[in-house]
Amino acid sequence: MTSMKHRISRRTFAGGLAVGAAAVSLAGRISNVRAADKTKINLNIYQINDNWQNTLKKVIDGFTAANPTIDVKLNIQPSAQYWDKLQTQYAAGQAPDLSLINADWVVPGASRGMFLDLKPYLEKSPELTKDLWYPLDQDWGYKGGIYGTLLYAGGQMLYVNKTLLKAAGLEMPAANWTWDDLHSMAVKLTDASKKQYGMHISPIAPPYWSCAFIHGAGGTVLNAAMDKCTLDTPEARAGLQYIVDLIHKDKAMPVPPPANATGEVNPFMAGKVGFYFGGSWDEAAIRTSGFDWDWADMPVNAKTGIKKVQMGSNAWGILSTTKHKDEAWALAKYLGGPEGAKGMMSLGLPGFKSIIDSPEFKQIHAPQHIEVPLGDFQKDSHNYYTTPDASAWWDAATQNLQPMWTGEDTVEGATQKATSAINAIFAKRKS
Amino acid sequence: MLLQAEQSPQVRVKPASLRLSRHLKEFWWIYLILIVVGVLLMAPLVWLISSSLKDQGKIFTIPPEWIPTPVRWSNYRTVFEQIPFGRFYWNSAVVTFFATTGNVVSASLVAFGFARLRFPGRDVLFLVLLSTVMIPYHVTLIPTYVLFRELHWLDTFLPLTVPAWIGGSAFNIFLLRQFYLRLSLELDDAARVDGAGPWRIFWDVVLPQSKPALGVVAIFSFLASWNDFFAPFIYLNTTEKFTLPLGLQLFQSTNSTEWNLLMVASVMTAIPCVALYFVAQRYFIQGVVFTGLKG
Amino acid sequence: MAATIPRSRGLNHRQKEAIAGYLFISPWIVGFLVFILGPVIASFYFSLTNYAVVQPPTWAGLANYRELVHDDLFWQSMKVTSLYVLFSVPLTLFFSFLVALLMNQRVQFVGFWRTIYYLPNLVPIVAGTMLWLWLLNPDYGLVNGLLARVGIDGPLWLQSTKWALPSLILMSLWGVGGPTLIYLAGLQGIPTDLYEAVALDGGGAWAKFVTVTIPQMSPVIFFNLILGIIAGFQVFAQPLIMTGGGPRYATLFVVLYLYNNAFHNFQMGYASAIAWVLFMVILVLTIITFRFSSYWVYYEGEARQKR
Repeated sequence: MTSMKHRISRRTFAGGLAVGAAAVSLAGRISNVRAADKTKINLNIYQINDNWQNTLKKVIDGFTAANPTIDVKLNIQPSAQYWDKLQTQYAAGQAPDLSLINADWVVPGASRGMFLDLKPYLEKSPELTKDLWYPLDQDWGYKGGIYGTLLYAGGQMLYVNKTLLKAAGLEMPAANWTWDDLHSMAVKLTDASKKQYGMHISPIAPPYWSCAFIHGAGGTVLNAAMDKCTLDTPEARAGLQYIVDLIHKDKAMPVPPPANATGEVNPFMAGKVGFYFGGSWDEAAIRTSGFDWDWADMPVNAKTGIKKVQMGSNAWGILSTTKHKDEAWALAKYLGGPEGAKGMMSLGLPGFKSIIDSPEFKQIHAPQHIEVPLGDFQKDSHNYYTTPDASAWWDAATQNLQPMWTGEDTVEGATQKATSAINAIFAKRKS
Repeated sequence: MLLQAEQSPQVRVKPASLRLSRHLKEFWWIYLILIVVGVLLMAPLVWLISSSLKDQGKIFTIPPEWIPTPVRWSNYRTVFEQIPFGRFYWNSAVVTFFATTGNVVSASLVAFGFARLRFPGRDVLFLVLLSTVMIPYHVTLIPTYVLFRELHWLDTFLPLTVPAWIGGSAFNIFLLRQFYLRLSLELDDAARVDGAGPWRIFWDVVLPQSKPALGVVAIFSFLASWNDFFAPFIYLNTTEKFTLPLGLQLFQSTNSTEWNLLMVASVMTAIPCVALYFVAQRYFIQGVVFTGLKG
Repeated sequence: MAATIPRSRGLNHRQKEAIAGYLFISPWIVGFLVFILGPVIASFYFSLTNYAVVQPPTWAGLANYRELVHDDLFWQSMKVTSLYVLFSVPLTLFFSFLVALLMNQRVQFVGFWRTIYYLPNLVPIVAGTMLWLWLLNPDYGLVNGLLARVGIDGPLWLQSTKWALPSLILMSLWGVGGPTLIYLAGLQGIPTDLYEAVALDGGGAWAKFVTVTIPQMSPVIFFNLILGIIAGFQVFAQPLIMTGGGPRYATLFVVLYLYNNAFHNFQMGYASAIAWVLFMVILVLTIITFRFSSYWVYYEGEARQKR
């Protein structure tokens, strides 16, 4: 099946070329596959963490020591446009055996046959999932298959600038604090003369991180079948209105930047924001910021009693063109299993209960309290909205909601436009 | 005076202080413009250097800090410790050298054909040449990649250098064509009367008069190759074969960036360009004015 | 005069010249046939298919082109791109010419100035982009900071549907170093005796500029114009990095839209159709510009053919 797909794609490309290419005589179409060294596994990673090469190399050394018949070639790639490269390589039959895959890419790629379904393998290795608090099908499940093993859990976290709180005479919020508490504290922390804000959300475009508020107010982005947009429901609008009011009515939040542009000014890092809804990966940078900070629980919406955090994690995926499925699985299993997770626990949040509960792990994040956001992750997380056409409709949501953040459009108007644009995309789905 | 081209480089031999003060009195406003706009244009480099000497946490201070406290010279050592930066330098140098020489050589030849010689189909072919740069590379990427796969050139420097030798960039050819077309035909005719063929005319008449344009092509090719991210990113897979722009991007991950180290890498990527440009512009803009008449 | 030379050698000379011509352009012919033609034709074939990149293409006929006609986002992207070209190309042509003239003066440390004015083109793009994001930040940026000093409440720049495109046009002026360098090289090639002739006729600086500099520079201006059109229609990196096409499609350039379709939405066939429509637009504009060039572009080396 896999090899057939490979052959078809090669033939078609050659066909495309051949149309005009009596001139382009592709001399000697020898098979591109090198003399098969049957246990050499190509592993591509892109930069997801600033300084993880050495750690990862050590983990891989551990793997090759345990699996002497397998040789791993690690190719570290820049993250910008890596998805384009992986598709190009795949289309030309040159993809690596195993690659790190962004949460955004898993289902769009898997639905088009790009990745191997790992469910049969996972069923044969119950030890891999036994201790796992992170549900693998949450972000990477598609039509009953599972297309990734876990690198480490990623999701939304609430960071607090304790220095600012103290200066304003405020206490750290309690575990069961509410949206109203957040609102009043954010307003108190705001000081226009110092360009200081109570709250900031990043990235908000695409609007992933505003989902916490949409869900908290009882709304959703899509319906359960993921074939209808529900941004124009009163609940979803109420959640978004809460943010928009903080920006424009209370001026307690800066107008968010247009895109998730790297290098955008993040006022929280500069010590100008009290509460910051950021990503778990922001921790390393915040540690260098020089002010006193900690994590807080996500606030509860008092009306609905709901609190939700948005998750989205990257996976180890096996490319369906691999000629060494079992070896690739062995590596994916090791990297996504307890050994790999333990080896890389200084870089992110492992998916295994025993590891995150260990004092050794908590020590890495001390004196801050990593168990606070991890508690939310385990109890109150919402899965990532992902479909085969996720990129198209997320972009439609992003683009149409933007003027709402800047005050150029109302919540009603923007959600109306976003909903009809997204539904139009869904209408194009075939069968 | 302002609108007139510089007459001769020799005039600028160290002016006496009296001449300097008269010069300043007359042209003070030029210097005013130069300095105001210059400060604006210099800001990015200063910002770059300043950021490269900061702690990661000090990059995003509000308001921005132009003079870092403390100054972190150690960032420059860290970059070499974290990635094989020296290796990337060497790779970039090799690729850029072959791509630049290839571009200059092939563009100067091809442009001569299009500008100074007459042959059937010339204008149509020239339009075809131009039209090749009107199609966004995204839609030809995969077939091109397959082509290089068939040639067994993937993960080598060949896709980054060989195309430069056979035609190279259409922009360079077009640029040189325009400059060749500006040259008077008198010298060509004189050479022809002396029995010179097209090659002699190209080599002895046209090339010596085109040094400024060739210099521009060399600088553009150098910068295009030195700073190119996408082509090496697509065609190279092994980290040890990476060029500088790829190495630079290794400090930028999906969700966070080590800005200070990225800036160190940027400074070190930019310095050879700045130095080279400073030296080259002197050579090709001032040194060769009006040498065309020597024949 | 010129005509007598070929006649003395008859047809033979013409043939020789033609052969020499083909030989001189042969490197490009080879490169074109080997590296460019095949992929270009393949992309045209893709435009007639449904092609999800990671799955083989299936024939779709003209469906992609038909869909384009009704695609609001495509038209929006054409509008954005055309507006950009309409403003950024003339502004760049004008300012780079001005800077080139300035750099060609007898000023002290001219090499230093020329380097400074070329700096934006020498700095890696990530650093340049980051600087602009800082400058244009509505709250903390230098630009709105300065505007506030003089009592103006600055706009939201890249965040605003109205100001995002003008911001990118403004930023494009930052890169005038490239065309400036080309002008500067062009200014070196103007024969001094032409200026002297004008001076003898009693012409001043303006006369010299209009009767010598402009006509002599016209082939170079023409080059920068064509290059500006071709490159302007293919702007990609800045919107990709800085705005993602937003807010609300205000900076959705054609190539960005095409790219999103190709590599994010798995619609390489549709993307190829966009590319070919864009190609036709650029080609037609280029041909028109070439046609009109005979009215204002003066080639010393073509005088023989015109006579």
